[in-house]
Amino acid sequence: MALKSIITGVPIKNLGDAEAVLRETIRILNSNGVRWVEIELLSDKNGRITVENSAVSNHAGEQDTRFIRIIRVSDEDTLRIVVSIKND
Amino acid sequence: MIKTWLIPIVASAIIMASLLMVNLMALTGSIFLEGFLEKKAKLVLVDSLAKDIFNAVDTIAEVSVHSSNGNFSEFMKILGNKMECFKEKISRDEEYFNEHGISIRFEYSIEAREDECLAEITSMIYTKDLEGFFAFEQVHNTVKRLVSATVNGSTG
Repeated sequence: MALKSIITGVPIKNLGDAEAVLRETIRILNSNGVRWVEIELLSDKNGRITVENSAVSNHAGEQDTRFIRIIRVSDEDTLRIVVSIKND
Repeated sequence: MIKTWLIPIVASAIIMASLLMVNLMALTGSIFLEGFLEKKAKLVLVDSLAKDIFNAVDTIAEVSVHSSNGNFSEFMKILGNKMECFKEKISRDEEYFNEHGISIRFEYSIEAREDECLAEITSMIYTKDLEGFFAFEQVHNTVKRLVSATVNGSTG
């Protein structure tokens, strides 16, 4: 749940730009030492963007990961962010 | 007469009981702390969502004013369409909001008078903890007034 709060910290001004949100999410996750496996971003405007963290994903099985879902809303777009994180 | 061999046994029993008590207290404390942190994180999440939605509604109202070029019927049409579109977008993620105990409601009215057009939008976000520990509502009012050819607006 704490990670959800971290991800909701992405500034609202960036919400129209899915790639900027993605970069900011990765920066926030990395700076908090989160071992994320994959980030999926679904947006009405930009479609689906997926980023995989190969450094972690090679060592993570399906059962080792948990998922965090966040929804951010702006007047133009709705962003659905799903982050899969490796369990310690 | 107290037997001396009983003393270490009684002492050991007291120490064991104390250690057990301390462990139980630590366990209970960590369970409470975890619950507290989860609730706090949820409140942060809802607060962030409320800010997103309130900002979006303000922007919709602002954009409608600018797009209408001072025309009352155009303003009513654009704002009405944009609000319906936004409500529809929100409703698509209803499952996610329900899962988090969040309900979102909008009430809006657009009224055209002789010399002005007044739009009032009330956005309400209500959340309740699924275990029944807390419930709160955030309400945001957006008011836009279109006066003849000039535009005045206020948000609160």
